Amino acid sequence: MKFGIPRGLYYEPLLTEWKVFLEDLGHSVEISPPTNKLILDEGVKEGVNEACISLKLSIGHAMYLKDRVDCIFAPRLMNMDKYKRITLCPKFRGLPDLFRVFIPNVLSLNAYLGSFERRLSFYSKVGRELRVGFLRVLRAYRRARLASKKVKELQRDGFLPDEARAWVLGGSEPSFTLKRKDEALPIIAVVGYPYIIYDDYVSHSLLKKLVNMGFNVVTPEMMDDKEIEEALRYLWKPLFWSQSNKVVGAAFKLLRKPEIDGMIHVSSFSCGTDAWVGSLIELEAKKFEKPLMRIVVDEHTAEAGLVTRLEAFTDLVRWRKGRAVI
Amino acid sequence: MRRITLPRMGYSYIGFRAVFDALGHEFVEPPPITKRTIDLGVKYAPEFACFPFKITLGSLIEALSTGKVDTIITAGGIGPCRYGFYGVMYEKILKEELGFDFDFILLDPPIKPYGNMKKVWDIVLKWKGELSWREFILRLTKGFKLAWRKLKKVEDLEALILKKRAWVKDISKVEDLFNEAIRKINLSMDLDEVDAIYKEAKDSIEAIPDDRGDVLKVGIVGEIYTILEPFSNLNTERLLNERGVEIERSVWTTEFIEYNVFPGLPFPLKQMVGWKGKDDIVKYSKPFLNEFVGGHGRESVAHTVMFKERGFDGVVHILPFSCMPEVVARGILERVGRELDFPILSLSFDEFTGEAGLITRIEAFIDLLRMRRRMAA
Ligand code: SF4
Ligand code: SF4
Repeated sequence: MKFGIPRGLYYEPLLTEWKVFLEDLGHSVEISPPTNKLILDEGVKEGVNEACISLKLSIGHAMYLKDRVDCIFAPRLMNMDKYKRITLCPKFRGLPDLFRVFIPNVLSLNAYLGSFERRLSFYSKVGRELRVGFLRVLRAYRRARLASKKVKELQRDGFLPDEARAWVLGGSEPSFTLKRKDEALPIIAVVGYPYIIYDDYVSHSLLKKLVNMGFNVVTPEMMDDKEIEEALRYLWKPLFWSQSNKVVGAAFKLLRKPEIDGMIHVSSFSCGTDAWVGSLIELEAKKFEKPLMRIVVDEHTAEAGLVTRLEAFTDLVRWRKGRAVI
Repeated sequence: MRRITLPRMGYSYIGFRAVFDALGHEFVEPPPITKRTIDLGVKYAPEFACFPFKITLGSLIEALSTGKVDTIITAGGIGPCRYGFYGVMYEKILKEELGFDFDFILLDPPIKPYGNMKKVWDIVLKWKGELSWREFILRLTKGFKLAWRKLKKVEDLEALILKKRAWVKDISKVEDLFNEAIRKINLSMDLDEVDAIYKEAKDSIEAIPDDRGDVLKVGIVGEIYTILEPFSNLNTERLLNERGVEIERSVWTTEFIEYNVFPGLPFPLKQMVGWKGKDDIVKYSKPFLNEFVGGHGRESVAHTVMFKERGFDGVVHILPFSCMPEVVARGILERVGRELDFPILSLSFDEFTGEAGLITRIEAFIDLLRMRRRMAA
């Protein structure tokens, strides 16, 4: 069978993990291409009114795959943390059913992925659904995990997710990396959900722009999971969403690092979770007196306006850094 | 003795007053929601916070500004919607940013990693205060019983006027009777008296003769706060009633408590309160929405299907702008409407919603429903 995995809300290293897993079981898999204008327009047209851009994009990506594949593979992401009660934003929980509004053929199972046992139980459920034996599932699972771990490590080293996946799946080494090359350059932390900051179309290639402008960039994906988890104890209680905890934890940690010169928080218009995430980061940045810029993207965000704001912000960061040296 | 307040939501304050009075604390009624409340909330809340958060924050600021309050109580939660973090944000904004001084009691369920038994215990001790254990438990049970009865009766009356107002031309008489009964129930200290007030009000409202015909039947689904607090939805229900539409709500305070507090109770208590489970919601939301998505998202879908089965003319879906569970429900409801051939109107509210636009949409929807009735006849 030919499966399609839509981007939008699904991100790396899950894309790799699922692709390798399904392919190892003898199916073919198409991941939808990076967001382009057609996909965005389709998503905005069909997607839910007032939803965040990422949810609209998810629909756009799924619509793109609809006639190209037999079935959309859309696990219902329920948990990615060691605590089972930490879940993901409700949009993830409703995602497969939102696909079904337009697309009849959707394979979806509840995915609790926060521990080895939970992962194994998820993958064996998928295996059962596809009628393959447990041993084959186990083998496919091991390969899939290996690949996804590699992608994750490469992301830690600053490779972009798509290029990291291509490399792990047999391509050549990508030339571009966010890794710090020049110690003297100022460092800007970019925090936000992976499906937004690494989506070049939606974020207008923010990460690449910053590098080209002569900055070192850090993202939550380039940090150690432990560090992030530790930083969460500065909160009264953690948030309920894995992806938000990662962003808040990363931001809290980075704001405490003296070498970080500024922070950009990218979020989606009408994102529910970012109402809290954004203001938690804001309050914390004030405490540590770090320059912070919030970029809110949606389908109307114009590149020119973004560049202007970016220039103003980077000037400020450079100026502060220069002053600190003198 | 503490002087306690809580964010306002519909008539829920009547229940809280009964409980805190019984425990010997003073309950400071949060002032009614007005334009000023909303302005205050909008000013100090994060820009993208839920509309209900903005309103309740405004309501708390107003209550604290009176200087009569020393304790605020709110329920916590464990997601997946934003509600569970309201408490943390209230505290951050009210204490750190606005510099109010008060004791903040946040009730988090003892579920890792959000809360634990010790936190719950500390709160119980705070409530107990000077009372002996025996006295405390006696008063608490009595308070809860009274609160529950009051809430139920108030809701029954609300349900009644949501129907009745559609059948009479002059709704002020209905509303006067209703408001008077609410006032009396709030002050009453006795179970039987509450029943009597209810019965009297019910009889006299029902006795008002109907002078309108051709009334449509519409169900209301959606996010609880925006539905229960009329000021936040610009009194949509009344706007519908005035145009000859009878309404049945699917969301209530008591139902919210049943669904959110009862399942978490320990063994004997759960059986004592008669927890029935949520099977109907699960059943009716299939195949459209197959998982709990937080808030009332799943209920919105299930109740819409139920309203269809019960022969209603349509459903109005009320949600705050960018509400996470209801945005998911809204997407799903599109399919429900299409596949069941059932008119659904989604209305989202925030501080920018204007009445003129709202009325236009409501009237267009009513026209559609009337036309469908004529076509069917
Ligand atoms: S976290 Fe925000 S951006 Fe992500 S799916 Fe939820 S609402 Fe959308
Ligand atoms: S149900 Fe909607 S409005 Fe209410 S707290 Fe949750 S996200 Fe906010």
